[in-house]
Amino acid sequence: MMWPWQRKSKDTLKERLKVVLAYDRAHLSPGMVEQLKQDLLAVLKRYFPDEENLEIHVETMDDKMKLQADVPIPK
Amino acid sequence: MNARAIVVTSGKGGVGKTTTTANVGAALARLGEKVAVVDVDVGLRNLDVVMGLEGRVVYDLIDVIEGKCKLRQALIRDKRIEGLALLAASQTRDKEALDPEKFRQIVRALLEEEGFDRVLIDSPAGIEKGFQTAATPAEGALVVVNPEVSSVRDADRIIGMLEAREIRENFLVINRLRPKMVQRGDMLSVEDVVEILGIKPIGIVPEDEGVLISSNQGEPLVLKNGSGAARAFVEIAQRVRGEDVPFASLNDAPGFLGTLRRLFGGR
Repeated sequence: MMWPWQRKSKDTLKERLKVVLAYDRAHLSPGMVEQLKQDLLAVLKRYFPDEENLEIHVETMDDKMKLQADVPIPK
Repeated sequence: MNARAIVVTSGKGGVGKTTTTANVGAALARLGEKVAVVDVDVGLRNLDVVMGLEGRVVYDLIDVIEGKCKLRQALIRDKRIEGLALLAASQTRDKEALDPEKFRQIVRALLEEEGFDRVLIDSPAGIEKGFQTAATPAEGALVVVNPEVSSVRDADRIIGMLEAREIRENFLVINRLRPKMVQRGDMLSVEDVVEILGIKPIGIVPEDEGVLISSNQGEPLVLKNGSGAARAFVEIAQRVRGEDVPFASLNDAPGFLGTLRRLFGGR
């Protein structure tokens, strides 16, 4: 039985495929990008030790990928 | 399709390359084309058994390449379908025996000297030498994909490799679609697969027991009437020939026709 609030399995698959294909097309390993994210975060934390809202995420658009850092500069 | 040499490929094994080759080949021949289907899966040939022609294989592709027989002697004419011929792969040799350039010459000879209108090349699974050889003479491709995770991922790799080879006329054959699962959101729809892979479909083949039954019997499915998959393969052949056939055979899923109309430019 499928309830309206349950996520459809094909939507989960579609999202997973989009991410995995973006990595495949970019010849990148997901683990390497995760490490890069952690390293970048560590560097940013060094400069903005009090900032809690540092965020780095990977965005995929069609066959392009971009790494986006969201760094609010404290006043 | 303008392409006369068409490779049928998928990356992943077991998604329906050989079935597609056999049935689209048979359907094209019934529509009046002279068609050669060529098995390139050296060491693991299967197109002969799926077509029910295994008892008539004397010479194979490697024999032709090594000059042991003439190309014409290795061609097995299907007596049930005028204009259809099979060139079998070798079952006893390994893939190294098949040189890509020599294979290209054989396909050219089929088109230019033997008078075939179309050559369908049944590629082995994988992305290695066997696939590369199968793709060498191809001008277009039918990429067979099942709506599930590993098949879609592998198809994406294959499409990238076809494009790198400057093979441009590439279309999806979405095989083993289960409309009821699509309807309840447990299977990727045609629209989803097309959106993810970025190339257009040329056919949508429903899951159909008739496919296994016909391969058990060694009878091309398209010779029988009434099966959903048979109809889908005939429609693929019509579209390969450039006929404008609407995608209407699976309209039990809601919004299916509307979705396809949007995909194909609002007809």
